[in-house]
Amino acid sequence: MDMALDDLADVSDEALLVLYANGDRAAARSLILRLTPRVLGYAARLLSDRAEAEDVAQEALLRLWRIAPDWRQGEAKVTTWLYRVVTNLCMDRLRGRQRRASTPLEDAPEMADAAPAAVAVMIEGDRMRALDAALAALPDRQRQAVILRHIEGLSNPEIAAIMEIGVEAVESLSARGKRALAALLAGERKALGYEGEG
Amino acid sequence: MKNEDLDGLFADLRNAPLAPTSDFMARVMADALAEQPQPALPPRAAIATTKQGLWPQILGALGGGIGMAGLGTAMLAGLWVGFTAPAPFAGLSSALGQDMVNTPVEQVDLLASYDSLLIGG
Repeated sequence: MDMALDDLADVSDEALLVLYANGDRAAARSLILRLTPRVLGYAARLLSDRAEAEDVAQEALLRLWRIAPDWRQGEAKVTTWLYRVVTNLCMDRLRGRQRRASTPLEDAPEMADAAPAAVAVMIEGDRMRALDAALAALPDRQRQAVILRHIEGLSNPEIAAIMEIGVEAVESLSARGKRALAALLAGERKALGYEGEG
Repeated sequence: MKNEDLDGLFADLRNAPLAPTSDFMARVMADALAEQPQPALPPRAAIATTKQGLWPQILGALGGGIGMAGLGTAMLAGLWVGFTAPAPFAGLSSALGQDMVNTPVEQVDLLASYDSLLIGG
């Protein structure tokens, strides 16, 4: 018999996935309510495209449902696994975009051409859209590290597991990304609503 | 842009997560239910509908409909032999030393060979 949603509030994602694999529909609903906004938000910030982000989030969750019967508790966190899948799916799509634009990866500039768009958005005074646009201007790996660290709120070891790199590399990418963002947004404090505050 | 300004922007983004549409959530739910393995134990309702009554259990123990048909045929054949005493059956009982048809019941000797034991003893 399915458990009520209220009963599942304190159950870990990993335990919910085991319940899901045992046929518990309430566990399925609870997992979806927990994970979908996070997965979709992360994909949307990496891709800057909601429709594509929905496709990626749906595909990542579909892979989770399929792996559920073989999930081994204690080996990985569900969220870490999902973030890694979403990261890889997004990178595949970004590479596809770059191929279609006929710009080889090794020739891509350190700051992509989205920077002018970021400035245009900032003039409109929309702080969040300005930051999103500036994030889109970062190189892919820096963008991943900054989003996972400062927006998703994950620890450096978790990010290292997701990006499959060392913790020091995560710290370096995150710091460089944050400096690049500050540079992109420099001089726009007024547009961002920070005038006279410091 | 100061570091704390950037942290403020990050906090704004954290506090305004992208809300999935109900249509998208429905698609994800449909995927999850389509891929979900079936429960190991049948639901209680399924157990209730498969529970059998007394007569179906007796019928099953006797071999179902075919078994019951055979049993009924044998029963009718026994009654027919008992009431009509067909010639082949009467001849068989005579061959065994007794006229089962014309001998009164109280005179039927069911243990004829036992007499010799009594005489000998």
